[in-house]
Amino acid sequence: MAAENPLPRGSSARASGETSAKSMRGSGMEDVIFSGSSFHKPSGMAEVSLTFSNPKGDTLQKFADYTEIAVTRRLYRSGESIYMINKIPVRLKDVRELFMDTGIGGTGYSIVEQGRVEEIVSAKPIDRRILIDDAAGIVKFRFKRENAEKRLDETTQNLLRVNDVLGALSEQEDGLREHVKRAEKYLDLQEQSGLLERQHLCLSWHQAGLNEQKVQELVQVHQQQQQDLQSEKSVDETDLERLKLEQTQLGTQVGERREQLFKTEQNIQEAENQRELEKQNLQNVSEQRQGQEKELEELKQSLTEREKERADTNNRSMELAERLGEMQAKLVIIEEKRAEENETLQKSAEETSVLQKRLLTVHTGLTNQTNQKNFLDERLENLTERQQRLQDQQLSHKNLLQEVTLQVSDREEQMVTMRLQKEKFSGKLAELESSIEDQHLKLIGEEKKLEDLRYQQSTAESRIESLQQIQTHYEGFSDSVKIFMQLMQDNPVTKKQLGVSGLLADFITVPADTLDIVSPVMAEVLDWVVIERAEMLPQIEIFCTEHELGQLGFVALDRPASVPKSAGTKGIPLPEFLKFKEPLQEWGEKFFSRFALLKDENYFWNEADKKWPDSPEEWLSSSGICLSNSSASMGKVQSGSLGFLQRQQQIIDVETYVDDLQKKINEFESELLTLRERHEFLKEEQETREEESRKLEFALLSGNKELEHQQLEERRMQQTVSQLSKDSEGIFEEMDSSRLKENTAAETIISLEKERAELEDKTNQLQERIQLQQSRNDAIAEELLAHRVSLTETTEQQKNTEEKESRLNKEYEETSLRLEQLKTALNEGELRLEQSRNRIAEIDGSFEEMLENRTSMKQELEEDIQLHEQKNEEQTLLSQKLQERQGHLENSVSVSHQESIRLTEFRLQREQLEDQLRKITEHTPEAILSEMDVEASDHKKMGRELRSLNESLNAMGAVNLAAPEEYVALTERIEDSNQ
Amino acid sequence: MKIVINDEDLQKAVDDLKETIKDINNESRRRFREMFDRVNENFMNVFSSLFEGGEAKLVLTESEDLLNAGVDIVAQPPGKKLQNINLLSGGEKALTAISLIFAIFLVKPSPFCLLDEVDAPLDDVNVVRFNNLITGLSYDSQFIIITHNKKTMEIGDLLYGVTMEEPGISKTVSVEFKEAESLIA
Repeated sequence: MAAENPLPRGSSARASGETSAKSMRGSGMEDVIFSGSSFHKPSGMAEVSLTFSNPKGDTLQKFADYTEIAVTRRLYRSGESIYMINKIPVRLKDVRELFMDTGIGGTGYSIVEQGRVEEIVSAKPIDRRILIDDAAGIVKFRFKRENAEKRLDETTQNLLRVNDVLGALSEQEDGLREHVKRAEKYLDLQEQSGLLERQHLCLSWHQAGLNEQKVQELVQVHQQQQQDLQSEKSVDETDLERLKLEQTQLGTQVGERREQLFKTEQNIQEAENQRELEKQNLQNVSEQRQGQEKELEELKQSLTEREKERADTNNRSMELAERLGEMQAKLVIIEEKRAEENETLQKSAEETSVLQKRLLTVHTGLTNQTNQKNFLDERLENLTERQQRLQDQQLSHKNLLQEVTLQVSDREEQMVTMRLQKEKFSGKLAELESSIEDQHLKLIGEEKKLEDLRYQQSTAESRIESLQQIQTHYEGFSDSVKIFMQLMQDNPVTKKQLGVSGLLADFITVPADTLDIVSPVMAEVLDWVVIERAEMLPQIEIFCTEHELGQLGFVALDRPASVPKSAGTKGIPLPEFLKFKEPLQEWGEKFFSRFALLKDENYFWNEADKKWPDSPEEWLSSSGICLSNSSASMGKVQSGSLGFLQRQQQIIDVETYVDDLQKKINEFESELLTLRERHEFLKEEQETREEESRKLEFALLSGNKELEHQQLEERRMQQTVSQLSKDSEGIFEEMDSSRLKENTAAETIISLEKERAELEDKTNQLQERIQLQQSRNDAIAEELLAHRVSLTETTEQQKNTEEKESRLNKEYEETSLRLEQLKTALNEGELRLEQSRNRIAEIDGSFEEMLENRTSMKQELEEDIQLHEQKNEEQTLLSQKLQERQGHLENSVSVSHQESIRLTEFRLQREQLEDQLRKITEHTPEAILSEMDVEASDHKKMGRELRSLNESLNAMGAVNLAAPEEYVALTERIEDSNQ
Repeated sequence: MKIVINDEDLQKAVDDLKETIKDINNESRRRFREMFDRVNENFMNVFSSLFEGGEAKLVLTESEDLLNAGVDIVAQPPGKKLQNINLLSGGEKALTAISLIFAIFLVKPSPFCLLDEVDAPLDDVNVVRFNNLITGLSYDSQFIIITHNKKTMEIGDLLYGVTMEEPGISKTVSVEFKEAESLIA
């Protein structure tokens, strides 16, 4: 798999499942979504895709067929995030799984950001390990292991759950089996009951049908009787109506007479009442008068008694006041006496309290001391135990300390040995370093020499090259000269026709070591072309024009000075041969003027004669250059000094020199190689030594650390031992002090017990005294109480007397007032009595007249009543007859109604029975009865049997009828669970 | 009886799972050991190459189980004493971390590697060494480098520049070096 599209860091991290907004430089993931600008609307989502080519299909199995895998993440502003692989929505887990062990991802090594470098360096070792894990492909294993562990947990949980479930199912199975048995029995009984119920119902239905038929017949008989009775009743009712009418007329007459009689009697009664009222009134007034007179007498008597009583009360009040004064004086005396007694008692109580406090203090002190003594005993025991333990610890620590000390001394010896070894190594290393340094310096010197030689060689080689270049291509000359001479070399026939000999430079020989100095002086003429005859110049001009050559200088060997000035062609300035001599001469003059200077500098060495030339002519002669104008002398030059050959020779010399240099270089190089090998050997040895030294240093360092650790351990042990000793001493001191304290506490306890006994004696004495005082005090208190009670009683008596006195006064005043009122009422009663007597006399006069009227009215009424009673008797007889008929009719209707009800009941019973039967069976009652022997069946017996069966069913209680199905389902479930 | 058998089956499943975990742990240990040794060897070489000398190695911290062992770095740049890695300079730390990353890369190349301004703390000489190392590794993996360093930019085949012509809207421009060279020639 190889990535194709380069993406910024955030994008690739986002696509590979980065969930941290901080790593995207945002406060929230929505910050990576474009928020818009002045000219662009904000975007609702951000999407990034990472496309990988997958030519080998070396990825997860499900993506192996794809040649390209595009991982996409889309993030919406709502916070919703979608991951897609090849446009198919997937989970984050799938993306992570895809990148697992590829190095891409949050913890991978493929994405290294700015802070990651620092993080890798400064991370904890365990965190840094993740990089190696990722590369080693362990992440997948870790993932698998976590899954396996999760599954293991789940399986263990399942195992427990299955055990629980199976246990529960097993229990359920046992329970259900019992239920199944009960259900089967129940169903069996239910079936029997059903059959019996059906037969019983059918018989009931049959019986109800027979009853219905009988009642139907009875109803018809009663209906006939009712019709007969109804007709007789109608005749009697007509007679009764007539009698009723007659009686009503009589009744009205009697009523009128009675009304008149009643009015008369009412008047008599009113008169009697009036008379009685007046009599009553008279009697009342008389009685009232008598009562008032009696009351008057009584009041007078009461008034006398009250006056007497008032005098007695005054006397009594005075006696009580005197007695009260005496008692109050006596009470003051008793209270004073009691106060004295109380004071004494208070003192005794205070004394007792002080003694009790002291006793309490002593008791507390005694308890404290006893507790302290017990505590000290326990402490002493603890300290003894602790001392024993400390001694044991001290012993074991001392043993350990000895071991550690031995280890430390061993380690120190090892360290000393190692240090010596290190020093030895350091010495060797220093020697090696100085040897390497010498070798290095020597090597540098040799390398410098070699470098010089190489430089010389390269200079010589470049000289050879330059000479060869000059030799072959006229390098260093102007382009016109170079082209011209190249053309001459390429066309020897033309060269011969034109009579070109060569360049002036080819005819001059200059020693190699003076070339650099001489050549600048000679440069002006070195590129002049030497030709044999001056007459060839026009042809040369044509040739130069044809080949578009630039300016050229020519020297003619036959006619150097007389070349016509007009000899030139258009476009190319011909050399001015008239000037030919002059420049040469000028050059010669310059040469001569400089010769003296050059001679002093020993430049002109004559190699042939092995001496310095005396004059310029001599030097020129020896070098083959002639400055005379004669052609003969030029011909001498031509024949005598060929620069080409000399350059050839020069090249050979330089090559020989180069070879010598090469040999020297080779020698130096072999020497240098040896030196380098030696240097390398020494370096390797140094590295080995350094490595060993480092190892030693490491060992020394770790040894030092270990030694420090052991020394620290030793010191710690020593400190522990000394601490233990100190602790032990402290415990001893503590034990001594505890013993001392214990003795002191024992002494204190004895003295405190003595003090407690004394105090208890004193307290007992005081308490006895207090008891005596208290008994005295009690007697006084009782006396005081009796006096107070008596005083209170007397005070109350006095108060009562005063109240009675005031009450008597009040009653006396009321009685006097009442006496006056009674006298007035007596006078009024006398007047009313007279009026009542007058009215009674008037009523007696009209009363006798009303009595006569009443007697006559009574006689008439009695006659009417007798007639009315005769009619009544007739009506009664007729009514009785009618009632009898009505009774018969009602009886008949009632019987008929009852029979109708019975008929309806039987019908309803039959319908109910039919309904019941329909509910429990599809067969009709007739069909069931046809199968039964109805005559032989005993309905009651059948009912008893059915009741007995129903009782048996009820006695079974609640039965789970679904138990068989549940049992089957449970059995299947257990089998499934087992599978 | 069936219940007991079922229980045994489940117990067997538990045992199998434990065995699987044990196998996974063993395989993880083996792979880790192997990878650690190879990465360590590469780390030593890459470190020496980047620092032109010196020594460095990875050390496992002590642990009862190899799966819980940490990885420590011991580094000794040339001419310096063996010292705590936190005492190294910023550039040295960066080079050490890069050495570790590339050591892992040499053992297991990833499809691509994204380096975000990791050359920022490096001086010119170290940048050249870093670039040489990346050039060497780029035959096996694709490198995406975010950098401000012109020398690092020179080693890329494609150069993407990110500018912001309009405020709030970033724009990318790209140059393919070979194409550009052919156009200039």
